[in-house]
Amino acid sequence: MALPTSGTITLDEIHVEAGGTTGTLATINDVDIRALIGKADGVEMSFDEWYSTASAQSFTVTEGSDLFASTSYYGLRNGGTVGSASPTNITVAGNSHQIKDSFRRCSSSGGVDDDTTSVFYFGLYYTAADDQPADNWFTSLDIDATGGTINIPQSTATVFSTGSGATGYKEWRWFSNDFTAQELIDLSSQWDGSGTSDVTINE
Amino acid sequence: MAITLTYDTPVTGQDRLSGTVTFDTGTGEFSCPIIHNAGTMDLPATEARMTLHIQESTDPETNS
Repeated sequence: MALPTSGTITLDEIHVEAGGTTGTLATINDVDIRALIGKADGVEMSFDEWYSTASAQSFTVTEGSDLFASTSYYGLRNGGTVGSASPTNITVAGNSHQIKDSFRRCSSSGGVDDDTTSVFYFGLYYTAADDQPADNWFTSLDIDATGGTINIPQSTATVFSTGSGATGYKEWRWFSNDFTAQELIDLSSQWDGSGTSDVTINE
Repeated sequence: MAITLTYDTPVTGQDRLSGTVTFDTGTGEFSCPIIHNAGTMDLPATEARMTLHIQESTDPETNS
């Protein structure tokens, strides 16, 4: 979530936005706090410079493939049973969550994918203490696609959560009709089980 | 797989549907945009979309 656009803003709010834990020690000169506004070490800063700032976390997926008779998956599944992510975890409200899924899924028949059915999943595991990310903890994702990135807003996602503790998870899904025809082409050629693809989470 | 969604009837202007779900191997929660057709809420289509998501999430290898 972005910091407020005006009014009172606290160091603790800034610290949490930067990925810190509420109520823990922080200073205005910490590298992660300065990074939100692009300031160098030791320069003069005022609190109103953090108005409307928002952190963005990114991860890189080394893609894998998971192919079944009628379904194909490309990217990261189940925290690394297929593919891998770097970093493996991201921070939500001060809690570190393992990235469960970041993949394109499509229907297939006879070994031939139907890219027009492509959907995109993003999922996070809960923590061992059962900390669960809010449905709307981010505003959108920028996902790599051939020729650039595709921005997919959280507000259009279908959200499903189940389980508890470290094996519980929440996932956000965008269906094929949440993408344009060209986006489906670009998404499919990027998320094809080879190479790496980046995902940026806009908060 | 039997999937049952439970939710409060949405009011006019509501843009998302949220509630709880039970399925063969567990329970969970869901939230999804409400699909509109001709300006009115299409709850069967909304439920079908959400159910598909849950089905594919909980049994991804067997779904087509």
